[in-house]
Amino acid sequence: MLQMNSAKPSESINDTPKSLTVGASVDVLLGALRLDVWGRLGWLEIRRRYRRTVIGPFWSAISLAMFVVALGLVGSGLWGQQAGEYMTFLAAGFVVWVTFSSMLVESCLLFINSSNIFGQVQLNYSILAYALVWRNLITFGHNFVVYVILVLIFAPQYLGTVTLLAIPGLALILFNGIWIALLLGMLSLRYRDIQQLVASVVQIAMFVTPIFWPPEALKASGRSLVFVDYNPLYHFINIARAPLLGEVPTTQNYIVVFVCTIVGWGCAMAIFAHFRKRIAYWK
Amino acid sequence: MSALILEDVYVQFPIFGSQPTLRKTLFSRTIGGLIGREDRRRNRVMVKALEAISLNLKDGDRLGLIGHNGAGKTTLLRVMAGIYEPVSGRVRASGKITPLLEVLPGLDGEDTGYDNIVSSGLMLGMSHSQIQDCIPDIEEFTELGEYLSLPVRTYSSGMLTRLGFALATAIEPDILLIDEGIGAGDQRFAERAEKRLDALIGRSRILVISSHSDVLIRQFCDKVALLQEGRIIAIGPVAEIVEQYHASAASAVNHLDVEADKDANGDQEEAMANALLGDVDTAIDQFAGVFQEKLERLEAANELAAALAEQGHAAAAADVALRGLVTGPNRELLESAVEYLVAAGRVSEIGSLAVGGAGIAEFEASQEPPISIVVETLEALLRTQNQHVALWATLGNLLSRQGDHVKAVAAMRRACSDGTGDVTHLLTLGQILAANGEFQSAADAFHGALALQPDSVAARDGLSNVTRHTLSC
Repeated sequence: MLQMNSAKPSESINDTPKSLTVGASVDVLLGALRLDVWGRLGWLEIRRRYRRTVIGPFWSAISLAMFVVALGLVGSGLWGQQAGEYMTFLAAGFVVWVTFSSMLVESCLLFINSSNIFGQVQLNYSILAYALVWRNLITFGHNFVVYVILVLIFAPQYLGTVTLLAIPGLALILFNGIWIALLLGMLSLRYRDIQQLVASVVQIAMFVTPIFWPPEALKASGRSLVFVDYNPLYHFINIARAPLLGEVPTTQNYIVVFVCTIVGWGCAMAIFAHFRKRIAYWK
Repeated sequence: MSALILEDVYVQFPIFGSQPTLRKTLFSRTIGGLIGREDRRRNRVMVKALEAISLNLKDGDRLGLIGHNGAGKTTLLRVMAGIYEPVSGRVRASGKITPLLEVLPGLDGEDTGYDNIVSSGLMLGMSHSQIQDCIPDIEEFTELGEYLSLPVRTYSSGMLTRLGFALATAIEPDILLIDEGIGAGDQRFAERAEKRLDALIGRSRILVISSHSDVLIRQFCDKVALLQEGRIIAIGPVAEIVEQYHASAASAVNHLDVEADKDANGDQEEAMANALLGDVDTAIDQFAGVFQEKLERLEAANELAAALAEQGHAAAAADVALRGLVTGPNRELLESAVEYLVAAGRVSEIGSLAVGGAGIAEFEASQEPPISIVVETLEALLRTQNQHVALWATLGNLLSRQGDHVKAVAAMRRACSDGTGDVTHLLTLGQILAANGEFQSAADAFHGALALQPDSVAARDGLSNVTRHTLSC
């Protein structure tokens, strides 16, 4: 009689009977409206992370810059490319990848680390997801400086109207970040293994996704199919990276990303609707 | 018009990652909610936290939730706040709900007091401008001053309590839910908190407080619900239900192993129940009769008090021990009485114990005087509870009475050192110092007292006395 996962409709605190799906949608929509809360949460998190440092979030940019320069010098020898152009390619790919991968990793801690919020007061859970995406956008802004400097020095010819396509590209990535945060946040709150799994997958994905190496390097082969064409991460990276390198993302890139967006949001909302009420109990 | 209605609410928790061995221990414990397996196949441990809870609260209701640890008090508050959605049943609320549970929502130790006021305020549903409006009020009420600009991790727990309480009551919630622990502030703060809460309640809102100390409940509530194993087993007027709670506390003793045989066991329980209900004399007599070879009344009191203290009924234990001391002088009983009084938070009664007042039997001249026994006991207790300000103050007073001014001053300084600065402690310190001839330090103490309470006549008198002495020297 007290089956916990029963899908029967139930009443909210305000006595408006609503289905689970409506409840979840309302959570996501009302959560988005609480810009004051998630804006502040995201910003404070950044501030805490770099408290008592002198240059604050630019540390993230500096470590990225060091990485790009060091790897750029090695990699340009490996792939027989010009160091300057290769570094720009690396920087463009990396600012996008770092944003995407840190959203993936941080998503796993979304609910685990915030029981001091949702154990104390009733809030829309999606607020935490928006805060996560927002703080990654802030970090992206800082990291982006590295790309800007490198592209101005080594490859100003990349810059043009095409570059503006990076904005919708990034927006799509962030929009996907919301469902990823909700989904991984819920799953890893319930099954703590997910966190470990995601961490190792992200680490490997960095090497097998064309970020260090140009996608053309694999030529047309079975490997190329697996690691480039069938790798959604590549398409996500490319919708923001290609414009930064003066190219228009391919139609294939957009199609894959759109499909992922729809399927991802669909799955995440279905699971969110089903388990939203249990989140407080799982901590 | 606010209302909070719970209809047949059930809540149960899944416990993940519990081992079979843990499960066994869970089944055999005596407090908390019922634990069972949801179904055998999935082998999942479920804790039934709340069962069939129905409540109807409307404007002006001040409900106290009382019950043992794990009876479901906090869970019920969380359900009321909408944090836990019930597994079945429903919760309806009209009006703005402000929960004040363990910590402020979103509290982060790295952020400053001001930052946390804004964050928590936002999460409690205030707007930025509303928060700015109530900041002066919070500054004044918390008296935290400069501390509000420091990271919250530097605060003492009492300071955090003040901050949380000030914010929650600045909001003017329609429905205020308070979990126990809010009374943890010092005496002076508790009085101010009471005034503020009284003012808030006066505006016809709903208040729900959970606590297992009945002091808080008696102070604020007009209705009490007694929770046991996730059910409301009684609800009604404060005095009646609190009494029932204590009776149930005594009957809970049944479940614990008692080595004596069945009859004796029954008598012992009855004795403990009587002690809890305040009929101390009968209780001691009954307890004395429990054992085959009749115990001396003094010994019985000692044993009964120890048994009560073991069950966590420090106040009843203290009552029994005090009664025992009327019968005859006994060092052991006196020491335990001091300990029980401290555990029960009745520190103020220790003083009269030490000087043989209030019907304490005369200690014979051959024995050690009670005051030195009490001083020794206090010193032993303070070795572990060295933050206990009231205890330091009591010790200081007694030492001063014994004529040991140096140690008395040291103890009183400890009593004054926690920063909350009780005026009476500072005054006593000043008086001891003055009597000891240390006029300069005495003047400092009186100045300190004046700074806290500018209109204190005692402090002025003390100061002018000290000044006169200094001049005459």
